[in-house]
Amino acid sequence: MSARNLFFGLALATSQGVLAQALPEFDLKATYAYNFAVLTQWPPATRASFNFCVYGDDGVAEAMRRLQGKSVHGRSVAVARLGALTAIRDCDLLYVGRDEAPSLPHIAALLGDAPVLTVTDATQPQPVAVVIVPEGRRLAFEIDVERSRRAGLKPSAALLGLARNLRQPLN
Amino acid sequence: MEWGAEKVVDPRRLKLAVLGLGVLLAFPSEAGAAQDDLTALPFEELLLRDFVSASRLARQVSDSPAAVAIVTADDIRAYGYRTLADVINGMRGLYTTDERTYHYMGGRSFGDVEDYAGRVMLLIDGYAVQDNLFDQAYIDESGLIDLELVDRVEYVPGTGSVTYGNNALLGILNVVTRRGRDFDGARVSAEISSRGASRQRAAWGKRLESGAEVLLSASTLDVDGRNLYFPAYDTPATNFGVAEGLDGERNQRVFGKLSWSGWTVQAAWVEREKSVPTNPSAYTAFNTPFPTRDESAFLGVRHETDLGLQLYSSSSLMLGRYAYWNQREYALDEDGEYDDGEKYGVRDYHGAWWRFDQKFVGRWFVDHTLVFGAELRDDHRQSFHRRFLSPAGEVTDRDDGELSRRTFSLYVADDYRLNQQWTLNLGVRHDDADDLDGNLSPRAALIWQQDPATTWKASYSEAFKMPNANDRWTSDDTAVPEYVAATELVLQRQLAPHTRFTGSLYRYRRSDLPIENADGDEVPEGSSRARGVETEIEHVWERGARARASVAWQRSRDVYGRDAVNSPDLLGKLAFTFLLPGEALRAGLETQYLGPRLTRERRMLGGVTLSNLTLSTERDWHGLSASLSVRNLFDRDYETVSGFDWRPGDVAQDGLRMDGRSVWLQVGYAL
Repeated sequence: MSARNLFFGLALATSQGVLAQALPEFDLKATYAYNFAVLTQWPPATRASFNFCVYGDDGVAEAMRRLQGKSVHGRSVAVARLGALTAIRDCDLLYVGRDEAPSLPHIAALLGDAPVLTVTDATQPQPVAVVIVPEGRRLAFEIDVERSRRAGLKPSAALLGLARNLRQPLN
Repeated sequence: MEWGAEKVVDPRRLKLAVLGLGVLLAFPSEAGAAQDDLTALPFEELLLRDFVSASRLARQVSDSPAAVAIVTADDIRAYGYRTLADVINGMRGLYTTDERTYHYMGGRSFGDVEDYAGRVMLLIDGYAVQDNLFDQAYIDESGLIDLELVDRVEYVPGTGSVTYGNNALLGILNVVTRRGRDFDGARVSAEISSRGASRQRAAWGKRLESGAEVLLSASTLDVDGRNLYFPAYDTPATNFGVAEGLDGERNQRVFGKLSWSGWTVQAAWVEREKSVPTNPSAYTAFNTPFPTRDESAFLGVRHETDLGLQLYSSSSLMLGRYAYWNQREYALDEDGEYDDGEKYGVRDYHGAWWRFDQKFVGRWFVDHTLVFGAELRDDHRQSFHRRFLSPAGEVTDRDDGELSRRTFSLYVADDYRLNQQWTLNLGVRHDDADDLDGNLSPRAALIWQQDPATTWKASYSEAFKMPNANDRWTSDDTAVPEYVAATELVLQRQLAPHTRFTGSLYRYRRSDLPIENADGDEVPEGSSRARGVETEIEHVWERGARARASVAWQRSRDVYGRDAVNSPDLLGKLAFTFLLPGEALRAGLETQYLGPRLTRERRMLGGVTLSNLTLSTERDWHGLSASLSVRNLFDRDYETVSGFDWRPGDVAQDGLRMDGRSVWLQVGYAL
């Protein structure tokens, strides 16, 4: 089959509009993170900016850059793609990509009870506050309330109402 | 566009291309709805929206200012690739030429064997690994990396001097190695082939509890020498054209990588011995031993860290070395004697260098990503030793050269997101070598995300290549840099959730190339032009079935305005892989068309279609895996363009006959 035939064959086979409502995964995950931030209460902060950090997922980091210039809890949003863990205590929300899931216990230890909302899309049970999980063709999320509370973070009732289930803290 | 005005593209073909683009745009794109501000939607609503999974690689492809092509570890396995040259042959618009000693890469205005070294940059995990004598990138068994260690190979067509300085004239080949966790234990494998090759490999990799990641690997290859027939030497005096058992090859490779807490240390070493079966000059004797040895090694240390949230730093130090050795036997002259009593010629070349690069990525300003840094490179050893030996092995004459070069470079680039749809990428790099004037390499690229599924990229860039050490030595330091200016328009469009189209139009103008002037002297005043169109469609089905088809058309002219040597007008690739019923075995079929191309004697070699078939186990069975490949499946007889434009007799040797069908079997065991 010539490349031309292949191309037209494929193009015609495309069913139109089926996925008109579907959103790119990275954009959706970045927007979820934004909503987690908006719907969670932080202890009073001294920083002027609200810092979103991404570690181990360049796709989400890129999508998250679109949040720059918005405002969360009266602070302007800054987005940082982290290459290392040296500055994670400067984050308000830290998104850890699936790729760096093995680092999560280390990250949890580094953060201690610092007021950083940790989010991941890693599949295994993880020591983080919020986990984004695929549910069919949609994305649901789970909240570890106890971990959030220890970090001084207070998820709103609205957020808890939307969560799939409230995870029990890991031992 | 200025393309039409200058008639750089045949108007008929241009119409076809425009028609093609029109048809493409007429199709509704995948994520038809404009990508509005999602944060404006209530969260409840977002939770009900479906998502389209996107791969990181796809993102990288659409964000890059160029039409990047990526071959993954899965592809390497599915199609039975064994060398980087195999990988390159599967890529849109590229081809390789096997000159029976080295494989050379061709595409987009370059193809002549002598035109290759130093024009394409080869990076391994970001380290430039060309040698510092010829600036050659080794893509065959003389190269540093065993393909088993490769996570992916990215080819970035177009000039890369703005990022990498010297040698990134026409494209960048970046090899990203796998991580320790990808092996998660030890793996041994053995390979044999009908070609008389045997290879053994062992690798071990792991992510340790501490977070450190380790990967170690070693491999050896041994290929028997065969009898090869060269029609140009078909006389009783030269063994009726048969070079006996001279085509053997051996190599050894070692690779190691350790990363921990922002630090990565890696080292690679390869030694390849190959016997040259061809006869490289009129003074050497056909069918005599001509062993040649290449040894390359590097050690790289990189530290990546964040200096606060808005500043990322990457520091890397590389130590590199290269050694080249060969011994040739000269032919007897008309009187039946050796000229000057010299029977053997020995070349013993050594290169060594270090390079330090400090790069920062600053994100202080909303919508700007600023990359800036400095690089210091010291080619402290570039030594050339030629010795000429008597039949008894005594040195009768010698020719030595010692060179060095120190280069200091500064670079800055800004990725400026103008709004949701438009991104402007501006960059410039200044390279200052102590033997040359400083050089500025600029690039400007505009990226337009027309809708979530459609990206347009227009770019203009300039790049240069410094004369390499060998050029400097053999020309008594009269060699000069050469330049290229490249213009490119790229369209990437997601036609359906699993179907992607990539198209590009490009034009390259190379200048300061050697040309013969009216007095018959060679002067660096020539310029050559190339232009072309490349299109590619990729489609992914369920269960890992996928296909990629590409067509590339190019017109490349040399400094005299003639069709360029070994630069086919048309290249076609089709690769298709799928699971066989039962889902235990995977088939990978590749078909590649290499259009007619000119030899150095300006003879046209006919177009050829080559197919390769690979069957591989999809999953390990009690730790066992296997792969069976048939290269040149239909046993096509074909020639490649050689580097020779002289004749030993009446018959030309401007083409080299290539291998027929060969079978390769690899068995692996994960411990």
